[in-house]
Formats: sequence, C-alpha cells, structure tokens
Amino acid sequence: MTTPAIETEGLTKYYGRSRGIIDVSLQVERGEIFGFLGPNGAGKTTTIRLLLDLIRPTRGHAWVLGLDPQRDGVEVRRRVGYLPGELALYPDLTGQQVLEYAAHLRNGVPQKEIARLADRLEADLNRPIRSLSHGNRQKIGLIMAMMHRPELLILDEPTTGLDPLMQQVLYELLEEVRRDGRTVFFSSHILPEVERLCDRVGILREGQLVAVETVADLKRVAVRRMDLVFDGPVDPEPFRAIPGVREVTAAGSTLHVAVQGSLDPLIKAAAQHTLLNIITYEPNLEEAFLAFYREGGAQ
Amino acid sequence: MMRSVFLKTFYDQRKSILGWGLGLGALAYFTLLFYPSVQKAGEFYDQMLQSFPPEALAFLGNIRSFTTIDGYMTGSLLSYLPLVLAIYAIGAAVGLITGEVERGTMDILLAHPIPRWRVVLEKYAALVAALTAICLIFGLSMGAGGLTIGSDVPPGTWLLTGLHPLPLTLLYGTVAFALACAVRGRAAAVATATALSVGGYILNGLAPLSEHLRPLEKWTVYYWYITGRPLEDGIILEHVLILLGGSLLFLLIGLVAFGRRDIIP
Repeated sequence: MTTPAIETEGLTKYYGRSRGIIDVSLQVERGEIFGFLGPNGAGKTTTIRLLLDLIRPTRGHAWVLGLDPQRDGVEVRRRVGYLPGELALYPDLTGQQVLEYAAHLRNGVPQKEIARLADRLEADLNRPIRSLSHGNRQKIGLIMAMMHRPELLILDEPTTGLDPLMQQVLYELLEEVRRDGRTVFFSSHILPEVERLCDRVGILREGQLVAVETVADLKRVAVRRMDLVFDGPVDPEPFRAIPGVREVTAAGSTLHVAVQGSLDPLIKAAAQHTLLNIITYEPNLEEAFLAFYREGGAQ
Repeated sequence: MMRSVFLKTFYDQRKSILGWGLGLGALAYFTLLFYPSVQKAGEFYDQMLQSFPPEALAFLGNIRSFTTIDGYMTGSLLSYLPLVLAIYAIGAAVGLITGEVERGTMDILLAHPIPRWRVVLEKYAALVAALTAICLIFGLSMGAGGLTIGSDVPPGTWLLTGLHPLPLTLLYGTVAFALACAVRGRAAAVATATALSVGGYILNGLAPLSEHLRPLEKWTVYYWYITGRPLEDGIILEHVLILLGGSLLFLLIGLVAFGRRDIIP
C-alpha cells in the first residue's frame, strides 16, 4: 500500500507562547493537488516549514512520503521540491548560477528540465537576481522547486508576484505534475486559483484545521459578490427571493448581490431586464468558510 | 565556484579576504621598512621602553627590546593583530550563519538534500580557509618586507609568524560561529565573542600586575598566543593545540545547536 504524500497527526507548534498551529491532522494522497487555504497568519507557512524540518514540532508527528522529516530529512528533501513563501535568493548571482548551485546540492539535475521550465515560464536566467522583479525571481524559485521532478511539490503561495499569464502557465505546469502521478501541496489565500487547480482543500483558521473538503463542496458554499448594472432602477425584492441569494442592495440602477452556489437562477432573473454590465468580485475566502460553518460543513 | 557550500561560501568572501589580507599585509610591510632606523637608534628606543610603566609594556606583549626584530614587530603590530583580525573573524562567522538565516537563503539551502551538520561544517571550513588566506598574505607581505630590509629571518619563519595569530583569531571566530548556530539574531554572538577578544587582551595585560588577577591570565586565551614568539623562540606547539582544541570544542557546540534549532528568518 502506498503511504500518503503527507500525513500529520496532532501536529502542533508554538513559538514560545505564541501560537503557530494546533493539533493539525491532515492526509494528502499521492497524485492529488491539495490546496492549503487560510488568511495570513493562519499557520500555513508554519505547517509547511514543519514538513520540511526547518522548524521542529512542539507536539505531534508529520510524515512526508512515508518518512519522518526529522529522522530522514535528507531523503525527504531529495524527493520534495519546495518554494518558500518569502523567497530569498542570492542577489549577486544570476538565475543560472543559483540553479547551478541548487543542482550541485542535489548531485546533479538534468539541464534539459531546467531549460524546459525556463522556457515555459519565460525566465531570464542570465541577469543577476538583484536586478529581477519579484515575479521574475519567483520564476527562478519555481524552477528550483520543480527541476528535479520531485514526487511531491510543496509550494507556499506560488503565484505571488506572477502576472496573470504566468499564473496560467504555472497552473498548466502543476496540472502536468498531477498527470504524472506526482503530488502538489500548495498554500494560497486566493479562492479562484484553488477552485481551478485543486482536488481537495484544507482550511486553516487561527492555527487549526477547520475543514478538509473537496473543491466541489467549497464551490457549493462559496459566496460570490457581483454588481448587476441595468439601464434603469430595478426592484430588488424579486431578487431577494432567488435561491442562493444572500444579500441584495440597490443603488440607482445597480444591484449589489451576494450569491451562494449556482448563478443560473440569478442570471436568468437579471435577464428579464435590460442588463448593461455584470461586475464580479473575487470570492471571499473568509465568507466561504464561514458559510461552511453555517452549513455544518466544518469537521 | 557553485559546486558546494564550501566553495560558494569561500567565493563570497573573496573581496574581504583580499581587502583584509592586502591591508594587513601593507601595514606589516611598511612597519618592517621602519625597522632599520629604529634599530640604529636602538639605545634611544630601549631607554624609552624602560621608562614605560609595566602596564603599558604588558599591552605591547611584554617585549624586552625594540631593537630585536621580534621585539619590534611584536610591540608595533603582532601583539594586537589577533584583535584586529577578530573583527573580520567574528563578523564573517556570524554572517555565514545568522546572515543567511536572516536573509532567508538558509531556507533554500536546507530545502536541499544536505544535512544540517554538513552545511555547518562546510561553512566553517570556508571560514578557516578565509582566515588562513588572510594570514598567508600577511606572512608573505612580512617576508617581502624582510627581503626589502635585508633581514636574515628565513622566509619560512615569516610565513609561520603570519600564521601564528590564526589559532587565536579562529577561536574568537568559532565562539561567534557557535553562538550564531545556537541563537537567533547577531547581538549575542557578536557581543560575546568581542568581549572574549577585547576583554581577554585587557585582562591578560593587567593580570601580571595584580595578585588577584594573576590566576585568570591563562583563561584569557590571549595568553596562549602571546607566549609564543615565532621570530625569536619559535611557536609553542602545546599552546597552539590548546587554542585549536578550544575551537574544536566550540565547533562541536555549534554543530549540535544548529542541528536542534528552528530556522526562522
């Protein structure tokens, strides 16, 4: 039987008296893309740093690819690729030199793979790190994490700083990793990217894992906010009666609507009027898992 | 140069090595150029030396005469050289560990399949190599100065004189290195190692003058350096070994401490 890619049991970390994570028990299966969600300060980075043995747990255990990160750290890190949340690289070196150094620390990495990833991410490897934008540094970090084709990729907020086009490329690369049967564990606070990529998500709040759900379930409860702009004032009352609509407020010819679940009934109702524009806002993660509590979805 | 932690760390220090090596080397060279004139006016300088209070002489390495090349070089440079070199050693030692942790690059390094003890050992080896390189440049510069003034001191002795401050400086650096391995932040490591180096130098100077301080003399670690005189009587191997043993002890402490700590930028 294959062991899970990641397994934690009562994993707890305190920094002195301040809370890192408390009793996190989690299982990430091989071959899935698992999203680790939560607002800043929830403990996502702490969990990831525990998995890599950069910090040591106060209580509890973690296994990565069936191995204990403390006892078998070298083997774990040989088979894992990691992108830190706040990536720091050597400013005086070029991207190429940084990757060469990393490749030597791994006792060699196929140059072909580095070239392929650099090509896909349009990374400039010849300029010193200090002259690169945040997004371009992030590309070097991503290549470093992926170049040895690890069994498990652990990425802490990987799309930070990437432009939307490169975010799409990264999504494609991660989907390729999944197609190879390899595993991706990534933290994010952006719901749409989680919806797009993940099979399952774990939601962390104030250091505790409050839910592990499939993305389908999360979508079902996610609250979307949108403005419907009509050619004149529209009575908000009929909209309040639509299933899934949580809030409606009218301002001139615009209705501000919060809707949960399927958009279909709302759009159909709006189409009864002359609809000039629909402005949608990024679904709010906090609202999504608050909705989870309301529905009793929390574990 | 990117083939290992050791090579990269050594490569990163190349400018400092050259700067410190050539700076101290130039100081040694020009100091030696003045030796013939000091020697000629020997009586005058030795009379001056005798008028010095013993406290002041202690800080010049308790030299007996300015007219021997050992007395002259010890009094004018070698007695305090390890203190000057300690500025580099402590700064570099703390930078190698704390600097990399604080910048966040230690995260990247330790995310690779390399054990923590190896990172510590390779970084320490780079520190030893850098200090050795500086001391070699210093020794070669003294050799060049010796040749210029027509001194009969053999080249090998100049090199040995250049390397003689290495064990003491390394001990100061290793104390800083071990503390950097053990605790977050720079302050504790820099302060402790600096107190050991400067405090040891002052205490060693004062110890012979007071009954109460005398027993502390050998604990100042500086004592194990200044009692060796490569230009006159040669080095004292046991003293060198004591200093190297001290470094080894602190290196082991650093290895254990770094293996157990949390890496938090």
